[in-house]
Amino acid sequence: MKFDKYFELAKERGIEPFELKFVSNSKLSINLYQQEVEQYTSAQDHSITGRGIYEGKLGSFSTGMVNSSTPALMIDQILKNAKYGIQGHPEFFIEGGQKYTRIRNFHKDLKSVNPSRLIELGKSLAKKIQEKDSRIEVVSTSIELHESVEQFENSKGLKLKDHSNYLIVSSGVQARNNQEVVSQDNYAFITDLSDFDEDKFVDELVLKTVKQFNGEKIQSGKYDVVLNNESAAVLIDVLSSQLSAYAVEHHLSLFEGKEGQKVLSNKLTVTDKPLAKTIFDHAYDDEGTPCSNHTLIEKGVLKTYIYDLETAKKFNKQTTGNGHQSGSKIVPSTNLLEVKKGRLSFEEVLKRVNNGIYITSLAGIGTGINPTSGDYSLQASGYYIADGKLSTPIPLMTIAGNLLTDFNKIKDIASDSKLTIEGVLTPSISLRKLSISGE
Amino acid sequence: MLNKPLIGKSLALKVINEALKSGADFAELYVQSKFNHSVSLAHKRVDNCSSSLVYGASIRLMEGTKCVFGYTSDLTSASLLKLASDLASSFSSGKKLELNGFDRPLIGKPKVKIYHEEKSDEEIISYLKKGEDVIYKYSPNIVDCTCGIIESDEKVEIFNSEKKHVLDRRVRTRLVCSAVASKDNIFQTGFEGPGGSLGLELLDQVDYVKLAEGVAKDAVDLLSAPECPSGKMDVIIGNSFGGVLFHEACGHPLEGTSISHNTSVFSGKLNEKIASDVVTAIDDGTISNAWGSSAYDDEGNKTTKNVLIKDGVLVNYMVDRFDGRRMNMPSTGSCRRQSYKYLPTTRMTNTYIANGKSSVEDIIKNTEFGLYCVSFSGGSVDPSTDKFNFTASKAYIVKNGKIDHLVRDATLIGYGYEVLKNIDMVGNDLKRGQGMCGAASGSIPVEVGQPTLRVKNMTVGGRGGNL
Repeated sequence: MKFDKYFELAKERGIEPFELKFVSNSKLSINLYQQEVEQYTSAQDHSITGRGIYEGKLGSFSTGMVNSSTPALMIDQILKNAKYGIQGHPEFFIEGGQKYTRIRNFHKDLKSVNPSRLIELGKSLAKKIQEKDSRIEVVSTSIELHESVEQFENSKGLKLKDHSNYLIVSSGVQARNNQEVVSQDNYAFITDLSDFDEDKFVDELVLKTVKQFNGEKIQSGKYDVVLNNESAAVLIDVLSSQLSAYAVEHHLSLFEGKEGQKVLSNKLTVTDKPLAKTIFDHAYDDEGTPCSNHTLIEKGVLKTYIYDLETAKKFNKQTTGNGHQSGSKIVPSTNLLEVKKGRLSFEEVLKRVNNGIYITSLAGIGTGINPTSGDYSLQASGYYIADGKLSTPIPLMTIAGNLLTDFNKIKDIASDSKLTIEGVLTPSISLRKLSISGE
Repeated sequence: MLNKPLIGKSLALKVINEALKSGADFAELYVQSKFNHSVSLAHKRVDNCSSSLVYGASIRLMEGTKCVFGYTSDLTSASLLKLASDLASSFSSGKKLELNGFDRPLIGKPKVKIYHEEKSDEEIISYLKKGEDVIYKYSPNIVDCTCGIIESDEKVEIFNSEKKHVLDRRVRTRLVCSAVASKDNIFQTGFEGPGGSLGLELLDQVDYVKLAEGVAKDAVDLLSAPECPSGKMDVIIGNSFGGVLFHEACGHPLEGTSISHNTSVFSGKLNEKIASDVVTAIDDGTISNAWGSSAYDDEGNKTTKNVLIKDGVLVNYMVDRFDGRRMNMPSTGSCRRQSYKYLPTTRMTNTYIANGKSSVEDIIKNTEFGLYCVSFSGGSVDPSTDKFNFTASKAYIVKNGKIDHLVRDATLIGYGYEVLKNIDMVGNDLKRGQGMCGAASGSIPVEVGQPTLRVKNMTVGGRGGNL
């Protein structure tokens, strides 16, 4: 797509620098209820976002309407919004000619996959899941293929293009044993269909589901806890969000004034990894800054906050390539996070806890965590750990604590890393003495 | 911009007929244009003044219990006809329906006194500034606040193969106010967000300075409040946003989406007693100017007042066209979606528990020991197991029938079907609060509400140790 009209009009009306981002998305999704296709979605849409400085203030506008009237509408809206916009600076717009790492986010084989192949995959998964255990009464499966093409240009010579696609397969099941109902889901990111192990996916899901039967209540108290990959990912993700220089600047971060200090357990090392060869890779952030991997927490020491161009200028630092769009603004936020894995196997971590609780899911994340203070109280489910092994399921409890305090009480980090849907690559983690509430 | 028709009738007819050519028994074209504008003061500056335009169309086809859906932001004739043709190719029954026109359009008009364009950003900023000033003046412990307004002006046009043509305009305005207080590494927040399906008359209806002062007080009071104890206890849930508990624990499992797929604990329980006698619950999308109201839902049906539970008996579900096919039940006018990009499905509108007979004083007086929750953050539910969670940011310990002391951060968990049966007292102070609900068809405005009520023996999770 050509942006000439937008840039001409922006220049004519005194918007300088000016940038445009045009994203074209396509989506194919297939949803099966039991073994039948219930919903089939095929869609294509686009959006265009303009941002620029007018009389020293930043203004922006975005829309899905792209036709001959869009340039004039966009420029008018940017001028209107810039009147009360935040202070802008030409340095917030990156120069062209930067060096970027080549990433491979576009997978040709996925592009050519036939929808009927995906329907076949969905039906096959649903059939295998249902046949695996007679107590499974409902299976819903979703297969989504996403493709996105992005063009990003500015008046300072920046010209970037990105093309990506990926497939997500997820299945949710509900199983019944007399009056007891349990549910569970599983998901997989796929960039090459031939690599997907259907049977492993089915086995994991069915096992995770039926293991939950015959659950027992738990007495409230303090327990040693092992967080599975997904639960650890959720908490690490929230904790790392506090490394944003924007939160620090506005005195809303529990890490304020702690750069260079030991803030968490020396067993914990967390790296921001936009170049990890996963579907979460970025060659550049939403400001066009080249991305690179960098350690945020090293053996418990806070090595750096994460910066975008605006906060970097305020803190007299270099941007870390973490500028991401959040609503109409760009603020620093993390890319894929990697928690450095330990040497112990998951079984060895359980053995060292001996008696405690294994948490397999957390719910209420949006409301049960105060990211600023780190206080949390969340719905959870999991299993007892008895004599170093997984024992009776616990369907419902709460787990409460403070992220800063609790991630200073890490007992062990396992070696069983998994990439979760939040974009966190983490192993299971055991923590000492957390508050559990049940009976 | 929003007064122009979104699409011509003759093009809509061509699209519907193209979609029907290969055997679909139902086709729908949904066109949306939604202008959003927001202004907020934060960090002692105008932190955000922005706008966006959501613009696009979707086509939905059904044949029995199969649904095919697609969307595009290109509203040219060629693009829409191609989308219709591509989607139609999913069917091959050979049946071919043809439509020769639409009925007269049904028009939904917003009840607005002052449209958004009638006030300048400058006037709005000056209104919000009064709130910001009062928050910072309230205490030196206030470290940040956000005072903002969110405006949307949306036009939705729906055509379907049953000759329906609906044009609904929805204007919504919401004020937000939050404050963060900090002391000795403890951070606490206060929040209020009143809004409705109305225009800028909201600014006159809300005493924003008083609201801001209350928000600052909540944040500051919580700094010195001890953490909530954990364990089983009787819980008094305050009115208004306390209705989040019903919304999560019972509202979602009564939506057609989970009922029709047998993934709700309430599937197959119509006309059964599912709650205690004192519980009557309603979903009502017709309430004048309410945040979750509209004249028509997102498949062009009139919204309704839908009694879900009457004196403890389950009398109806919330039903949309597609799920209604499995359920063999008619639509209740509560099919909703965030935008044209989302497949619409049954969602709540304004959901509340009706007034009971007890006074708030009686409820407290009759509670020997318990927790009285007064401010709430929200929650979530798994409809298949009905396990829910719900967070109260501010609560009081009640001892010997009297309010004792303030505590913070209580998470309530349980099974919705148990809670419904354990509600033993319902007050007479019904009030509704506004929020955003996120589920399968996106994030949509809803109201929750209830009078103050008491639930016996709930599990409370907090960091303040065991009872």
